Amino acid sequence: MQNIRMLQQQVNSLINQARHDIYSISATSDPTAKQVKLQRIWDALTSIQFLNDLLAAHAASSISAANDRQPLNTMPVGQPISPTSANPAVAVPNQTFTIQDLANYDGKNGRPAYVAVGGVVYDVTNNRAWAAATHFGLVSGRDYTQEFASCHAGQQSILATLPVVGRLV
Amino acid sequence: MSKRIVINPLTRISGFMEIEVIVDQNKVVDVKTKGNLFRGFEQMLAGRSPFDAVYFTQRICGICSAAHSMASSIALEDALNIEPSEQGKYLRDIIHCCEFLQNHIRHFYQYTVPDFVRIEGNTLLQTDHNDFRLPQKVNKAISQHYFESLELSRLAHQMLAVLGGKAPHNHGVFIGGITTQATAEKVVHLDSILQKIAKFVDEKMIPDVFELAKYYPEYYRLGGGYGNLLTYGAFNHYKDIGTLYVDPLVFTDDGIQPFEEQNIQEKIDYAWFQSPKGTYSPDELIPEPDRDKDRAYSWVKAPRYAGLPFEVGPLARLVLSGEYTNGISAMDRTIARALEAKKIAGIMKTLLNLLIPNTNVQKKYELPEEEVSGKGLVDTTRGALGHWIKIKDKKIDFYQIITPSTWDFSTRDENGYMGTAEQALMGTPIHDPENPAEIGRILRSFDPCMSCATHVHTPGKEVKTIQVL
Amino acid sequence: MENYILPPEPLTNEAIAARLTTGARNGLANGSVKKKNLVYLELNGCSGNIISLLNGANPDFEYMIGSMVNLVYSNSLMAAEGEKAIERLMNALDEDYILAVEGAVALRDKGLYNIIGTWKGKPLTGLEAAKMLGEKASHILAVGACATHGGVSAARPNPSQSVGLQDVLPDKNMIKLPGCPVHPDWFLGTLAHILLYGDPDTDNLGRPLMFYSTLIHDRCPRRPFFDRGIFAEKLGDKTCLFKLGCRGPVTRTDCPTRQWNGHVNWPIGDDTPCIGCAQFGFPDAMAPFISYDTTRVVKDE
Repeated sequence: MQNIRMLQQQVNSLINQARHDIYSISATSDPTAKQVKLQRIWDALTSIQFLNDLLAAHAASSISAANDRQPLNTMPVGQPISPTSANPAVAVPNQTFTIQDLANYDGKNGRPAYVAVGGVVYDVTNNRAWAAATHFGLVSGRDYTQEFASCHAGQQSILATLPVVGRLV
Repeated sequence: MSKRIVINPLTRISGFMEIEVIVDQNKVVDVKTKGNLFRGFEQMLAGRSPFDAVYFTQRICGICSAAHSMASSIALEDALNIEPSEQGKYLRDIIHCCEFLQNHIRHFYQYTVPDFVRIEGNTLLQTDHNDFRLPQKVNKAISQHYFESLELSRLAHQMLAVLGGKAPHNHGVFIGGITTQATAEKVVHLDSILQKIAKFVDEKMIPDVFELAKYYPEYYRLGGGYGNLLTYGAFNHYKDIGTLYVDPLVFTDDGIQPFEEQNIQEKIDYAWFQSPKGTYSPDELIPEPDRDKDRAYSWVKAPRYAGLPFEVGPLARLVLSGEYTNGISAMDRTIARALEAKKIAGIMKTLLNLLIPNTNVQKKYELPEEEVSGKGLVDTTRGALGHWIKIKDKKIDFYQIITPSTWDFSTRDENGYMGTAEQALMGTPIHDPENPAEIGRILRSFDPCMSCATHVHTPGKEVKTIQVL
Repeated sequence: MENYILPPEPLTNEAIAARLTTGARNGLANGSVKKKNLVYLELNGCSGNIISLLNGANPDFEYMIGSMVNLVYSNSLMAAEGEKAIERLMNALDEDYILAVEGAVALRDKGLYNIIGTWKGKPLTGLEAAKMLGEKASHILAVGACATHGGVSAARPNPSQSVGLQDVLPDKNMIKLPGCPVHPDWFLGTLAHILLYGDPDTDNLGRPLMFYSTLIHDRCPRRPFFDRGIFAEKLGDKTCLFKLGCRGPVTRTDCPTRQWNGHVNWPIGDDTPCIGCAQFGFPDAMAPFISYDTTRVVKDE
């Protein structure tokens, strides 16, 4: 559920940013500034579309689960998100993986692609940054706690968008 | 009294090259050609996925990248035991034709013409020598063609992109042929551009090269060299239509013979490598570098065929295919390049007519568990290009590249043979040692591509020199 | 009317580039723009970016050297040769100039793995030239993957110890134009912006936003296939190339809309995955380029 709240916060923040950009475009006469703002609006729309897809996917899966549903916390519009906020408490399925188990999930020959960060195993099979089950020279089926910390410090929200499949033991 | 002349950089080539000649009584008595760029592709390729070789090796060279995609695809097919379909071969060779046209047009107008034609009005094209002999009218016309040609070479790359995705560094050439399919719309796109290019070659490029020949006739006698010619074959061995250009052949004093791969060797006698022995076959690992080796003067290895240095390139192909008989010289080489552009345009037209639309030649390829090896020998714009690959544990274990410019700009060897271009410069009269226009003209007739040579230069021992300033 | 800003001017990259080049022409015609000197340095690379530059159509190379800049040095194209060519390079230091660099800087053995010429009888390394010219340039453009971050020249095990231009000029501002090669419009459009309006807006990695702002994935015509999980199993297929290793989702360029070589095609249009040639880290971080064993298979495991 934390995932959905976070997504919603991100969408709201983007909408707010876009509103502000539209306002500042109408207030400025500097053509360069206009162009930058317009570009940012374009980017914001792209991100909103992406987040919308994610929300829709969550909605679909929670309907199918059909139990233990909580009403969404409606966040006040405009509250800024802080992507560095604490690691969201994700509900981790009971499945456990040893590092050897994990190595089987390398995305090859139809197997899913899993990676572990901070003891949690995530499914990156269809994650767009993991084409061919590889990500900037990293192959799937391994523990990347250190790599995540060095490349994505303060970007815990990335993990929040990944499906969790179990725990690394 | 002898003088040492150094030209560094030799501009208007691809990559970096230094040339050092000793002139005695206004004649060249000694020559060394050196590549000034090292990246070490063979080392970089080890450990990579074999499929990546096709796109990776293209980065060897910006002007002839498609050549490396051809050789690496053929080497992979050989290693993986994949037989490309005839349609796949036609499509791949059409992309290769586009590169020939792009390359020959750019080499003639952007690289060669400024040696002979004074192009006014731009800082970039100001020269330092004064040996310009064309009548004003001719000079002006060819100057205009310098700029006109930009559109045609650009269009040649556009044709390449229609089937290859982009150029330089195309995505289209691959195992099995090319990645995409020809459609009517693409075929007519190519044909329409090809017509424009063929017209330009016929009406401007070929007449222009003969104008140069008319006013610089001594270049028919300069830059000859050994006269040994070699080709791995080009646009040949099609199942249904035979050979459109030239089969694998060599020419020596003994006349024309079939080319045989096992005669290729690389020598490192005068190159900076440890040498438990001096001669290696292309699928053998060259030993570690050794800069303190006596008598070595360069990192460029010396490919030899049956122990002899050979010339490769358009002139070699035209002579071996029986289509050019005038001779072997700097001017003949330049003429051959223009005539070959016409020949290639004709071949491309033939291949276009053979295409079956919407043919998908791609399959899902797999790598074998066992160790395999393969070779890809193909004649490209500058001549004979070879890639040798060994695959182990589904990774590249060994990769060897012998480029056309390694043949033409090789170092000398223990048998006393100089490199092909070195020999071509021997005896050349130098009119003005302060502005030796002859050296650049002769070397450029080979169309050097030192990006491809991928070797290293280390400065030799300092000797007393007279620099060209 | 001046105060009304919406609807905005067309924001496609084509439209932006067209506005810039038209502006450049007008500026030159009315004398408000003067030709600046451009030094184009080729270092440790394949010289593919200057070949790509020759593929520019509007503007083309003739327009560039005739109406935009005074190109004073280019190893591939200049008529002068030998030390007299290097002399022109040295003379450029006395005037204002824009520096464009393609190729990486080879550090091994103090730069001796890439010698670009001879000056006063001594070899001039790419390393020396990059530092010397970079210090005095009014603007610096790192052109192509090798210049922006080392690229293929620095691919492991990096035998020539090559690095990107910024590594040897750590304190200099530079615009980075990654790509292998760079698209001619990216280079010429950026150059036009510098001439007309000064440095273009860039992201925090130095890439001009007008060309490098958006992920390929976000404008990919095959995106609907990704969203529905329909993936190509081999090259030549017309669906999403993600499972074959497409790096479009991590690469920011305008390839999907601009396309290449007269805007006729691009790698994904050629039924092949994007290999991320314009992403920092190319090629090692973008490898493998093509994988078949990660595409969906029907066979039992």
